Amino acid sequence: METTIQLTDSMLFDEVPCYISIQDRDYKIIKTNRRFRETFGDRIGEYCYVVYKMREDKCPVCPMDKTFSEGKIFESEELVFSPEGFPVYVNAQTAPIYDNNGNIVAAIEMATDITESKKLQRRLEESIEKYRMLYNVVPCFISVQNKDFIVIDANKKFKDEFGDYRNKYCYYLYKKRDSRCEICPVAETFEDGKIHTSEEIVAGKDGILMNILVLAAPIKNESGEITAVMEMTTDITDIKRIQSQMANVGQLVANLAHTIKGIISGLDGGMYVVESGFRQNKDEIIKKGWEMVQRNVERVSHLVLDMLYYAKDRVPEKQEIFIDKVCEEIVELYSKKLNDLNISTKLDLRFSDYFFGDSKAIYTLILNLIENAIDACKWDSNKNQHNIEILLSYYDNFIYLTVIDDGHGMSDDVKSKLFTPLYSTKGSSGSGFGLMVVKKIVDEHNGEIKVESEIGKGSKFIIKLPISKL
Amino acid sequence: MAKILIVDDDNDILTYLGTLLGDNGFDVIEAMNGKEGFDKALSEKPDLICLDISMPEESGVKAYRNLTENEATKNIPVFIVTGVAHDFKNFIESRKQVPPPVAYFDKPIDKDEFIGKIKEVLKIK
Repeated sequence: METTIQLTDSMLFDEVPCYISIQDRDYKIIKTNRRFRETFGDRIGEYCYVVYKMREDKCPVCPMDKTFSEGKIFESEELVFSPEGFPVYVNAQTAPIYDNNGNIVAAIEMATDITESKKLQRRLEESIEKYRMLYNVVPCFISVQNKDFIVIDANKKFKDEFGDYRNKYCYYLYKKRDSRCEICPVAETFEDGKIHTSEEIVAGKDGILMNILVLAAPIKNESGEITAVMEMTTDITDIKRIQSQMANVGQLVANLAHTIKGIISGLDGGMYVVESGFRQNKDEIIKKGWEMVQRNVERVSHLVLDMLYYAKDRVPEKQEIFIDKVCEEIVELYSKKLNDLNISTKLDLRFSDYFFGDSKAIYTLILNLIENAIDACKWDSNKNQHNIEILLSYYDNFIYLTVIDDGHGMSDDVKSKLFTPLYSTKGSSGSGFGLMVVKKIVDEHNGEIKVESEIGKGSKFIIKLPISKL
Repeated sequence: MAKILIVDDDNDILTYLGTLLGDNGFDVIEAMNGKEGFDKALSEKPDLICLDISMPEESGVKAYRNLTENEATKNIPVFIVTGVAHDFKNFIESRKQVPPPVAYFDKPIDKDEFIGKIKEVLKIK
């Protein structure tokens, strides 16, 4: 049996699933549909703005106004309130109603409840905002690159560090290169769609080099094709520095152990030679052994002093010192050794005024330089006779202390490693501390150190110290 | 009497090992760097060589290679006596074309073990 539903205009009007009201030109409601009445009640005769917005006067911007004045359909989004005070977002459309003479006598307002979609929209906006914020405040440089390695988007930190990225190549921004890097995690990600990482050295805005850890991740479209790659890089310069310091500490400990083993061997040997001398009742052997013991005790105390000097962060205890006298004293101290090794010395000391500095440190500084010069001569078997010159002069508020030897000299490679921790060319006798300590003392006195050297000719160490006043 | 060449840049070690070996009835020859050591090995033909590795002028590594490559010296047993014996052992073992030394001794040496090993190698009772 067929059921026929008789639809009348009035039924349609009532059943439309939105709020419908007809208002006269005074904004008074003259007719409503069922949905309207269910939410807002029977409000015939009341002002639209009272019903919808609980206002006492007309809304400043009103779609009805436009419909009345221009006779057109208008659409707007409005926030209205149910009689219980619940906010309802609506999409309102207004259309004019004409009388037989073509005059607009009323307007129909049809409001669709869009509260749910509005909520979703707001949540979407919030999450976009959160994502943007995260993108910008995350302590990484983030860039999005296309297949040609052109940066198409970047976060704030990236822009702050590498400048305006638009239409620029990644390799230019990071490395000021003209062509792409041979090994590139972004290229690898474009190729296989996987996450790739690498460590790189790049130049920031002031040209300062930094170590970065790179992570490249694919950005795919709905069909799963990689359209771009997001590159996230973290500045690991500090971590790298600590890593290298740790490695240096490791090297330092290993070298130290080696040096100490050498000294123990010397002490062990000295004791054995003394014993052997006693057994044979030979004074010269006992003396030889005893000298070995003494020498190695001296070596260990010298090493400990250097270690302490190097390890401690100390403020120089400044006092008046006469550097020329210190030079003379140290040369005197080594006179026997210099004589034994056939090394002559020439002192040209043209600054006899006092210098304001840490006397112990300056003594250690000169001692280490002269010891190095002696060793350089000692290990040079090409000549039987060597010479060491010590020059002291003053010019324009600086003292220049120069120690020159005509020993074996150094290659450029050795020269470049001179001030690295515990580097030594002296075989069993070097601790690698000497020049580190020299450098530290020079730095503490705001001075500079310069080294000139040539294999087979000798070396020249120039120390420049500012004359400091009280 | 067996003749032993000691190659070391440290005077104290030369004195020590020289005295120790002399006390045990060996003839001792000394050299202060790798080059001098190789030259003396050729001229003096020692029965055994004690070689240090880290020396400033010419390292023991080069001297060791020269000794093992020269017909006149390649059969002389070599003891490596150094502070870096462990590193040198790894280094030599990674190079298959270089025969390993007879023994390694880390400084400070164990005197009895050192003399015992020399006697064993030279087949001296």
